[in-house]
Amino acid sequence: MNTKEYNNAVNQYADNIYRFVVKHTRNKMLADDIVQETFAKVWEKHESIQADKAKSYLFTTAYHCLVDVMKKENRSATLDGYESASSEVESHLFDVQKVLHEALNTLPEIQKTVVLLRDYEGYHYDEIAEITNLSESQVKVYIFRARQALKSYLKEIELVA
Amino acid sequence: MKENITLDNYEAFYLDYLEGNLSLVEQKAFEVFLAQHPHLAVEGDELPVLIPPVTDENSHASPIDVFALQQSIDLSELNEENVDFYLIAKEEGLLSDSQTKELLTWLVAHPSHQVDAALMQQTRFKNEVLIYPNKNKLVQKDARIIPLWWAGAAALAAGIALLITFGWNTNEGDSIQPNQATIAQKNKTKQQNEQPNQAPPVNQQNGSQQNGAFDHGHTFKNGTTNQVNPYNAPNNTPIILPSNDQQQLAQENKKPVPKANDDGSLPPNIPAPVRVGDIPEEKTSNQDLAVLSTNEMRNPIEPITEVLSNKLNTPIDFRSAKPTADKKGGFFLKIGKLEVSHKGSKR
Repeated sequence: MNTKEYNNAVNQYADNIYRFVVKHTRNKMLADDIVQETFAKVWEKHESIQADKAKSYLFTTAYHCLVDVMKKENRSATLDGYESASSEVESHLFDVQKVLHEALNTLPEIQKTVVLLRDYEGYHYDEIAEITNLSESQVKVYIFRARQALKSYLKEIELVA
Repeated sequence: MKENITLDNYEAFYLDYLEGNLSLVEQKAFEVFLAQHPHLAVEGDELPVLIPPVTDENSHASPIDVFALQQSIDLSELNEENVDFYLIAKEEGLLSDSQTKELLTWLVAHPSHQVDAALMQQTRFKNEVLIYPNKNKLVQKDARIIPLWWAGAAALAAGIALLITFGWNTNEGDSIQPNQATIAQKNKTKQQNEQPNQAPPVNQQNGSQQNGAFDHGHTFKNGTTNQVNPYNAPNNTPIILPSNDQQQLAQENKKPVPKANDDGSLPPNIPAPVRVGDIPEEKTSNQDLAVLSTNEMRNPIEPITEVLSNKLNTPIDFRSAKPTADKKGGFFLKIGKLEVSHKGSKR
């Protein structure tokens, strides 16, 4: 991947990577740092990366950065600036999608990852498996579990409403 | 521990084991189970495809996990217990058209599950645009790599030029040995400056070529010679003039050139050629040319310009001259198409 191809990848995928990380962290500042780190790592190795593999390489790198950050900051329980960031991130969504994003945050990180990669990026199970270093079977199981959990959450909200 | 690990439910435990969701007791129990069934242990995270038969009596496995691991989907097993799986499979695009129709038919027959179907449709995240604000910080510029030694050499050449301007001693009249890299450029420049309407030769006593009023170096009738020779060095090597002087020269050459008479004398309205030494300084329009002729300049850094020209495959020339009593000094620097010249003041 030469410089021009790298810059094309920036223009094409920076928004997608940012969205993926923001949905995970619900913190735009942290997401900015992770995106910068992701592209910096990819730039270091850009000469050995094929241009047509740039997207999957970016998401793989972003996912690993995300995991490292989440482990480091132990954000599975709480997030700094969680409350204010969540309203900022999702203020533009309609009701159902807002509730769905709330439901997303109740999922384990790995289920959150596979669902976001599936719905936002349209990746197949094998592609998600490559990014997350899982087997295709595991990805399938996690997606099924996630969908059932999201449906149950929506059903509870409807019952409450 | 909630339940025993069996062949019916071990896959779900396997997943939780890999995720680290098992308690210490469950973890230990699962490792014991794997030791008892080594054929189930896999390398890495690849789960076995073996699906134990699911029965109502001995099944403790999550239907979702079990069905998700199935290689193919069979709607013959569809019931109210496992309808969620089929609804998820439909949303994931895993059902064929006929299977989807069959599922919808079943839902019509079981309206209580139609709400589940509608909710399951809403579990997909819609495409949402988020713009990354700092994209410009990620873009890399395609920088040209300039060797450091090139920059250093260029700086050295410029520094030497400045030193010469402010009084570096140089010898006048030294023969000029232009480097090989500039010969082609000089020849090209010479061709550009040769004009079709050059003065026809004027007969001379010594039989030399006839020249017009604008002399390019020859012996006059009185035996004197015009020292002005902007185009040919003593060794007949063409030189490069500064571009502004080239333009002046071209304009001079465009002036109509008078023809000589048959006997070789000049027409009456044409002034006789004069020697440079006879011309008062303020009347000579070619004063600058006389000063900047290369036979009065030398290249004090010839080895450097030669090396640079060869390395960069670009003509590089540098010449300088100390001001004298009747001529201005100065220097001339040419790097490729860039030309820099300076005329110093007289002493």
